[in-house]
Amino acid sequence: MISDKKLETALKQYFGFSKFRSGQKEVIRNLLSRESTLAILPTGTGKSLCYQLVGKIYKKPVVIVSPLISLMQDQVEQLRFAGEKKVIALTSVLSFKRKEYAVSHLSQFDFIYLAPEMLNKKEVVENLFQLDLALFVVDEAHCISKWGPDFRPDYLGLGELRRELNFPTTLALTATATKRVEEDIIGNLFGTQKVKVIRHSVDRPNIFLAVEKVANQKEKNKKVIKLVERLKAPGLIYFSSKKKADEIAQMIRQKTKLNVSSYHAGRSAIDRYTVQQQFMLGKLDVICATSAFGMGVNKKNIRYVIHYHLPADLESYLQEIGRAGRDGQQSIAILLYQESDVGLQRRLIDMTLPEDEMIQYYMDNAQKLTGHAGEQGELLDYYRKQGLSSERVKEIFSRRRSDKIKNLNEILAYTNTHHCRRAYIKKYFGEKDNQIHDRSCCQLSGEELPLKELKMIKTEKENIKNFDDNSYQRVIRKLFNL
Amino acid sequence: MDELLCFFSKNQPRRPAVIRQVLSNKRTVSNLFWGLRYKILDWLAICPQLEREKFDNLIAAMVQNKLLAEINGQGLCLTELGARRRDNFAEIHYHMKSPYLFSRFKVQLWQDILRLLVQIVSEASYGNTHYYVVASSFQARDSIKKWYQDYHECELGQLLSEQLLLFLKNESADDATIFMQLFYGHEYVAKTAEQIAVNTGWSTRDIEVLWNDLSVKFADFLCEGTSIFKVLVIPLKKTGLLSKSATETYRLYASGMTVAKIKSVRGLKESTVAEHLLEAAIFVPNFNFKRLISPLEYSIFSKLFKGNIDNWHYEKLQETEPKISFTKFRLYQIEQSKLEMVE
Ligand SMILES: [Zn+2]
Repeated sequence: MISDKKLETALKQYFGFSKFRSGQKEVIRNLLSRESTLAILPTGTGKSLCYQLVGKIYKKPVVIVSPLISLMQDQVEQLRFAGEKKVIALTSVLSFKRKEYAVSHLSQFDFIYLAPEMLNKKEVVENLFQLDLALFVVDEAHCISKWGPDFRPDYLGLGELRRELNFPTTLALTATATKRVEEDIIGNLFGTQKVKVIRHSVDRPNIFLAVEKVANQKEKNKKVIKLVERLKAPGLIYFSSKKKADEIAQMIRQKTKLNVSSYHAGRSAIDRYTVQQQFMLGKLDVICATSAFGMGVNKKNIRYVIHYHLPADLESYLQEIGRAGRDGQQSIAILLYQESDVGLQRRLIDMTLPEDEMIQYYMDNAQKLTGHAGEQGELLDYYRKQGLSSERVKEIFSRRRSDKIKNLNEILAYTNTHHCRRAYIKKYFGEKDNQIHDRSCCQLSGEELPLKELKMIKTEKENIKNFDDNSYQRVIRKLFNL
Repeated sequence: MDELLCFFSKNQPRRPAVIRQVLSNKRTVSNLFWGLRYKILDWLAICPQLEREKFDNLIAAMVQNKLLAEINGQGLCLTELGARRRDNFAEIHYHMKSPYLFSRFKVQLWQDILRLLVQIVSEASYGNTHYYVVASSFQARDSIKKWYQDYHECELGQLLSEQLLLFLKNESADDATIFMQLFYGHEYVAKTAEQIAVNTGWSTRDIEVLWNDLSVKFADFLCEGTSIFKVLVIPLKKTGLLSKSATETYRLYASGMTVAKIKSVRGLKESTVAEHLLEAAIFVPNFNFKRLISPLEYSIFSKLFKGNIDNWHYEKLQETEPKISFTKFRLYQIEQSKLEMVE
C-alpha cells in the first residue's frame, strides 16, 4: 500500500499541488487497491485529478468515457499543457484522418477520451481490447440512469463493454445523484459486483440559497440590474436561451458601469475562449451564460450565481450554483422565478421528447429516416435496434416525459417551499436531514435578501478595474517580456 | 448593408449579380471579366460564405430604402441618396486597405496560426508552460508545433516583436493598437471585437474587418521578408489566382504551345482551353495577347470599337467579320481594360 507521503509527492510532481481536496485521496486509495468505485462528489472537487494521478502512477492507459465533447476538449487541453502530450479525444468532431490514425494507435496514448457514440464503432472497441488498462472511467455516470435528467442510451452499453474488457478497475464519476440514480448506476455498470460508493454531501454551506419571485419580465430585468449593481462580483447569470443571455448582457452594459459579456454555443470558438479567459483573469464582473458555460472552468471566487430562468431540475441547478464560492467564502445563489417560466420549461421538454405520432411515424419509416432525424431520431433509433415495438417505445417516452415533469415539479416545489431550502435539497438527494436553519442558511419564502448581514454587498473599492488601454508598442513589450 | 454600397455605381446597372459572385468567389469567365470591368476583382473571394438568399435580401432592403433603383429593367444603380450613404459610410468606417490579399492566402488558417504564434512566444518569454491554448484548428496547432521544434532555441520574443513593430510602423497608431488588442499572451487577454467596438466607437464589424485586413497584410509582410516566421506563411500562400486546371493550360501556353496542341495534350475541348486562357488573360500580368490576336484582327477591332469598353458588342463584329471568334473579341476587351487601368 502506497503511503500518504508518496501520494502527496506524486501529486506535487505531476500536478504541482501540495494538498488533496476533500474526497480525492479516498477515491485514489480505492482505485490503487483495485476496487471499483462510484464517486459522487460535488462539482469543483477535482474529480478528474483522481484518475489522472492513478494513470500516472500505474504508467498505463486510462480510458475515459464522457458525454460532453467540449468538456473533453477542455480536459485534453489541460493535460496537454501540463506537459502531457499523449492524450486523445475520440469524438465525432475529429477529422476522419486523425480519427483513423488515433484508433489504430490507441496504445500510444496515456489518456483516451471517448464520446459515447464512439463505443458503437467496431474498430474502436476492438482496439480497446488490446490495451492493458490502468483504469476505465465513466464520467457523468448519471447519464446511465433512465431516472436522471441526462439519460444517454449509449451509456446502457457500458456494463457490457466492461464485461468484454474483462472487468477493469472502474471509476464512475458524477456530481449529483439521488439514491435512485445511484442504484441505477451500480446496477447497470457493475451488476452484482462489489463496488465502493463515496458520497460527499451536495450541500455547500457557504452558498446562501434564495428564490426571488417576480410578477413579470420587466420586474425581473429590474431585479437583475439591482442585484448585479449591489452584489460582490464576479458573478454568473444563467439563462435557458442564448438570445436572452445576449439581450440581458446588453442591458447590463447599458445600464451599469460593469464589465459584462455573454457566453453560449452561438458565439464563435474564439469569442468563447476570450470571454472565459477574461473571466478567469478577473476582467469581467459578470457573465450572462447558458449551461454551455462552466464545464472545466475552475474559478474560485465566484460570489453569486443568478438563474434568470427556471432550471429543468434540481440536479442541474445544484451543478450550476456549485460554481460559486469554491474559495469557501460567503456566496449566494438566487433563483429568479416568474410563474410563466414553468411554461418555458414544459416547452423544452416537448421539444426534446418526441410525441406518440412522431414515434409511430419514425418506427414506420425508420429505414429512410435513420441519421436524418436529429437528436430525437438517435434516441428512437436506439430503441428500434433493441427490437422494441412502437407501443413499447411510446410507453418508454411517456414515462420519460412524466419523469421530466416530475423533476420539474421538484424544482417548482423547491421554489415554493415555506420551509428551509437546504433541508429540502438534502432530502431530495437522499442525505440525512440534519440541517439547522438560521439567518445565514437560506431565505425563507417571503423574506428579504439579507445581503448586508451576509456581507455580500460590494464596496466602492471592489469595483473591477477597467481594461487598461495601452499603446501597441507597450502591449508588444509586455507580451514578450521585453 | 451599407458596406455593400461601395460596389455599386450610378450608371452600371448590371452589377448586382457580378458583385455577389466575385465576393463569394464564384468564378466564371464572364463574372471575372465584368469584375475586372467594374474594378472589383480585388475583392474576389473576400466573403466565400455569402449566400445568394442573404445577398438578395440585402439588395431588396437597399431598394426598399431607396438606396438603389431599377434602371429601365436592366438592373440596379445607386441613387443620389445611395451615393451619399456610401460616402458617409466610407467616412466613418474602417476601410480595407488590401482586399486583394484575401485571395492570396489561406486566411482562416493563417489567423489561427498567428494567434497561436503570439501566444506561445509570449508564454515562452515568461517561461510558462501551463496555459490554455487559444481556440484553433488542429492544422494550425500541428504547423505551430513543428515550427516550434525547429526554432524554440531562438530569441523568439525579441524576433517576433521586431517583426510586429516593423510591420505596424506603417499602419496608423490607432489601427495598430486595436490590432494588438486582439491577441492573447502571458497574463494578457484579448478583447472581443464587440468590446473594442464599445470602447472605440467603431462597429463590431469594423473591428473584424480591421483584423482581417491587418492579419493578412502581416502574412504578406512576413512572406516578403526573411525572418524565421516566413516558413509559417509560405505554405499558406496560394500560388496564383488561377484555378488548378487553368494554371496547367497557361503553363503550356506560356511555354509556346499552340492552342490546338494544348487541346490535344490536355485532352480538353477547345472551348475549355479558351476559357482557361481568358482567365489567365485576366489574372496574369503581362499576358501575351499578340499570340492570340493577329495584327489584322487588331486593326479591325480598333476601327470598330471605340469609347466605353462596357458598351462594345460582339454582334457588331459578327455583322462584318463573322469568322472572328468571341474569345478573340473578349481577349481584346480584357487587354484594353488592362491598358485603361494602367493609364
Ligand atoms: Zn435554511
